[in-house]
Amino acid sequence: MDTMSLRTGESFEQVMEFYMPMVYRIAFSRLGNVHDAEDITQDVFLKYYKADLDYNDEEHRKAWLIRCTINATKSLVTSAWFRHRASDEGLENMEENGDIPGSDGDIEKIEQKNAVMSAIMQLPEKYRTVIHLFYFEDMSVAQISKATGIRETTVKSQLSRARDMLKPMLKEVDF
Amino acid sequence: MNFREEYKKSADYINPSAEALQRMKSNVLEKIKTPAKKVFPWKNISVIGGSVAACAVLCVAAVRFIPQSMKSTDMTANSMSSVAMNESAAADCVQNTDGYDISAGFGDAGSFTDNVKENGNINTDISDSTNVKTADEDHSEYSISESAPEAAVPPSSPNADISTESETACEAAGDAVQSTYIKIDFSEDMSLCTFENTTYKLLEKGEYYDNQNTTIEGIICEGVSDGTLYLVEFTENNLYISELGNDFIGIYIKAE
Repeated sequence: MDTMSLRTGESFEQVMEFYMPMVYRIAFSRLGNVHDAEDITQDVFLKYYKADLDYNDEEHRKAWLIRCTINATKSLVTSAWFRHRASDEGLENMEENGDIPGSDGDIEKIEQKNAVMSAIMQLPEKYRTVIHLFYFEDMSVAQISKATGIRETTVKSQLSRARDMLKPMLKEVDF
Repeated sequence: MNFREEYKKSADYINPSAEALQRMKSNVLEKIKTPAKKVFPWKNISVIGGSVAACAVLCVAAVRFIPQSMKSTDMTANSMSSVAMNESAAADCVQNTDGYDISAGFGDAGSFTDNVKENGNINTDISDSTNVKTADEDHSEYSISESAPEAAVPPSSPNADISTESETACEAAGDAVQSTYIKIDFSEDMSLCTFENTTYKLLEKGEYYDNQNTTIEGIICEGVSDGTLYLVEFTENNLYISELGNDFIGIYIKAE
């Protein structure tokens, strides 16, 4: 995809159509909640529209969107409103199910259906992001480093640790 | 099994549905098309208003409390200064009692006694609880206060050395014995003394015994202008001044 001139309805819609699933997946992999992932996706594209930047190539655009998504999820997770809501939801879950508040309901459903997804969702957030970009988005270590702002060595070590964590849970899977 | 393939198979679970994608797109486009409402700047107003209110409170507090504190400070300073003045006055009085000044306002300001020390010297001293009275006031020529406390200074002996006494008196030159009623200023050589702005000539200085065989030191002064004689007695703690008229009374033993 060549560099597109934004501010024209078609090109922006094309960008949304092309990158929206990726942004949504990254947001979902970090937040584990459909509604939050949708909100983050919309916010990212609104920022993208308002930023009106000139991108050198598609990799640049993709890296910008990934970085913006990660930052938006970080901001949401660290916001007081999110923490307050999480504690309220945890209390509601305890009252309804009598369970200890843990992962979101959406993740639980997915985990029951898919062992791989279940194992990935048990990883820490930073490892989840790296694994998702590397295995699902087919990004190289250099691209992940550029998109996330993490050094390549850190990306490699995070990938290695994530694999080490997944291996006991997914013994039949080759990495 | 390959992890990558297995993970991509799970894409169905984490990929947004077509409906969700469409909903998100429409929401984004709608937000873009809708002109951003100009938000009323409540935050700026609250910040500015709060600052102004805080400044106003500080100003009001300053206007209200600073004059009060100034007043209280002034009062404190005045009271302190008055106390300091009183203290300085008291210090002056105490200082004056170091000499021959006797203030009737301070009953124990001192006495003017010529004391003979153990070595035989006569020492002029001022000790506590001196009462200065005139003979007229006491209606007697030789009134000795019975209420006078026992003084630590022993009475001088009759064998006092007059020369030593003179030296001691000279040391006190320029000092004065002062009372409410009379002030005695001694000249340098104790030859003259001044009562009530009148100069008297010091005639004698010596000791005598009263009826109780108490040693009394005293001086006899003669008025330079009219020749009036005054007897000034120095007992243990008291100073008595009596007018002798033209008569020489009393038995004085002049120390040799």
